[in-house]
Amino acid sequence: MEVAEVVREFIIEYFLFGDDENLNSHTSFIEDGIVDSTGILELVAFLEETFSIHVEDEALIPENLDCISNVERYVLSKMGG
Amino acid sequence: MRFSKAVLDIDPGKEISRVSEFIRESTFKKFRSRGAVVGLSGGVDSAVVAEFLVQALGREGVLGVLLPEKESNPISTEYGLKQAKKLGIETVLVDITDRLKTLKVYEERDSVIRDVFPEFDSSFRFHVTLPQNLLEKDRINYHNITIEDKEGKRQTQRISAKDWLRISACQNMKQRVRMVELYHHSEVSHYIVAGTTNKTEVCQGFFVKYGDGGVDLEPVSHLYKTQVYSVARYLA
Repeated sequence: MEVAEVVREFIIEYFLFGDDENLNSHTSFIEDGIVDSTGILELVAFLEETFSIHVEDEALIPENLDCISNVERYVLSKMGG
Repeated sequence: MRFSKAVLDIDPGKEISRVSEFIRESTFKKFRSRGAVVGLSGGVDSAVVAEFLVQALGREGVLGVLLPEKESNPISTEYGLKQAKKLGIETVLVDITDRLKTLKVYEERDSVIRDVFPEFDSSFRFHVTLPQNLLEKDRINYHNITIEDKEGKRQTQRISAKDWLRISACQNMKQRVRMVELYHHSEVSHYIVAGTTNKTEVCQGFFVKYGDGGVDLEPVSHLYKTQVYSVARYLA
């Protein structure tokens, strides 16, 4: 499964309780109130476990984690893809 | 009105009269109680609330309750007692450490810390901290655990969301035990419980539900922290 699809499924299941109506690749998790700062850390734990990567403290910025598209780009860069 | 920091200016004297009237009305007419208890933490919020209560109910109608535990800074109790002495109010001091031990608050929290730092034991100090330079750029907040051994050697690591939730759930139990104690002392005297949450804390949700948020009335919840300081300076 593609990274974007895995992340999308996690967000829908974990934070939107199945309601994906307003979620697209560029929907801001934080601005749109989908995920709070604790939720972002839950996302980080999920990414680390699922993709066997380590997210450094310095990488905890919206450019890497605030929407599906950003997460996909970040994860692929960590996986060397 | 121009927007500037002056919009937060208050007239402390008028505020004291207004809040005192609110406390009197609430205590005697709404709750039909004889007085109020307040938890004295040694901080400025509870010091100002105690002042308001004394203005409203007289010193005979106010009980200051001090509820330290083994991890409280001893200076907090000292400041709380000093304020009570200044106001001439009665105090009760209950060390809640044993109650917290019974609830396994320390044990459970320490086991979370040991998951991160296996060498952690009671000889270490620990803090939950935010990273430095938080405002320097747009980034996502997270918490660190810092442990410090007897020699002062420190180690810091980011905590996962799961561990942060486990630690804060344990820490919040301290506030809930304090709430239970405050209500015990209030009921014994047919008093109400006065809270000490200010507006800055209310706006951020920075209080514990059924903990320090579990009270009968909130005399300073309409005042931002800067305004609480303003009243405190006036009263000093």
